[in-house]
Amino acid sequence: MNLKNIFLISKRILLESFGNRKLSFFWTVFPIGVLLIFSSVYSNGDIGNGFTITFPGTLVGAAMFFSCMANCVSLISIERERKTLRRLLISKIKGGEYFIGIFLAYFILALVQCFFLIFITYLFGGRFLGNIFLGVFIILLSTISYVSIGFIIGILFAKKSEDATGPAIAIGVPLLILAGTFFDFSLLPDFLQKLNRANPIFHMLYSFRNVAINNFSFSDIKYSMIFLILFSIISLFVSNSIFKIYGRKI
Amino acid sequence: MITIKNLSKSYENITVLKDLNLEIRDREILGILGRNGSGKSTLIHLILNLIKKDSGKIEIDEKAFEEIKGCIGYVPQEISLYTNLSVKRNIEFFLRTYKTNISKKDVNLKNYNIINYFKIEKIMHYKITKLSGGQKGLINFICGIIHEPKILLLDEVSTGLDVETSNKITGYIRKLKEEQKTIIIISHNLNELEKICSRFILLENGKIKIGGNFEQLKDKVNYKKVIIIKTDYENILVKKLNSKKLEFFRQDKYFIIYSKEEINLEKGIKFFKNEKIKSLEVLDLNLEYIYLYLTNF
Repeated sequence: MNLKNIFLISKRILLESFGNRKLSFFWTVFPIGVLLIFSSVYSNGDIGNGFTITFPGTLVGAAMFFSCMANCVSLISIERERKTLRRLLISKIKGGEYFIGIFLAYFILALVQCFFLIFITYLFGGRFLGNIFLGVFIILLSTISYVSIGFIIGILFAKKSEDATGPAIAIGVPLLILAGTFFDFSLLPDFLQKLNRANPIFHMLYSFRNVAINNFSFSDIKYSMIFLILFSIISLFVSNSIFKIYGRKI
Repeated sequence: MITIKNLSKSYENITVLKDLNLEIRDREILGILGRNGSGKSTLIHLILNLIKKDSGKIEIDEKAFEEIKGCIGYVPQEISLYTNLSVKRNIEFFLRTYKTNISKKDVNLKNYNIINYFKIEKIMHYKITKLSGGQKGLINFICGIIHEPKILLLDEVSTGLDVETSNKITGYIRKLKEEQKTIIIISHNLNELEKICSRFILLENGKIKIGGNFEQLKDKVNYKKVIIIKTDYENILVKKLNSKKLEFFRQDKYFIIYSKEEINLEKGIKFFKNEKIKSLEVLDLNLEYIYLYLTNF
């Protein structure tokens, strides 16, 4: 595994992402818009508290879902359409380096989004009350999970760029809603709450919210953390295997 | 040397390549001819390990593909570039993917012959989306061979390009020929292939129908001239051609006739004076007409 190659792939993705000014603008406006709307809904007269409560869900649920997962599906479909991956497959870049390069790029994008959202949150009097390192660790695990899901959906279903959004939305959005991104998940019927235990987005939200709002430690959220760690390892393994099997068809 | 032994590939029930055997010697420039769907691109993709073979063996310098990565350059038919990046970023990116341990100093594109040859300094900072079709084709070509590989595989590099860019690329391939690179080319521009290649193979029904250098192909076809005729009296012409036992075929409104005799325009007009010809052209047998002969008869 050559770190230089991983950075090369990440740099390329980041340059393309930031180079597309329109896309960058919308990716910035979208989470900020969501944060402003939901914080006003949940403020109950205390704007700062509204931002504190809604910042975690906006970041992990809304912003990262679209930037990490939907973007990854789109990246795969575009690589497929442009046939650029063919060039990479015959180069010295290894499959694993390509794969980790993508994760690293999206992790950086997630941190940039986090920076923007936390800036707005603090600007309006909101706070991040938990352990920042644990928060970053959850963002990392969430990125791995989102990107892996995006990678699998992209390879299996998104053969053209116009196919990219359909499967991402059809599979991802129900999971996003079920996880309680936009409302309290306790409002869901019992069986859906039980079903939610298998939903990775639920565990991302549950753990990040509790760290950000309630200052929970790792042991307080250990079940969700173990789920996320296992899910990240399994999804890494599955997406790497799928890449090995289907990568040549891209 | 690239050695291909008993190579077979099929897609579902369609056999594309069947027990193909081929040796491509070092410093050789091989032109692959064949109709659409004859397996030309499949052969290149198999050499590049981009698709899985059903059976057979491919060795490059007696090594497996994984061992010689970085020594091979590939220019695909499609524009395979990162459209939101600049020309410079694209070239640098692909250079670094092939030469993974390259130093910062060695990434300086001004030191590369190909960059100076094509004089692309002016468009270096342009995004790919801002380029013309010809410029995109040129950058696509440069990105495939910027790492100065020993072996090059070029798949229809001139398709869709303007004449000027296409000629520039042909010129550069000739330069690579002088540098004694091993090159495999697929192109529908047979005039271009005739000028560049030292050997040709014609793929048909998954096998090599015929192979050899231009003179060998000419000898195999055993005709000297090609007469191209257009007439409104087609039945009369066909009767005459059949009675004289001349080999011919129709291409749109034209009759392509193969002659074993050294015929010139004057003789041709005389010979076909009763057929009320609208146009007549006499050409030397070139690769295009050798190809048409081999694929029509």
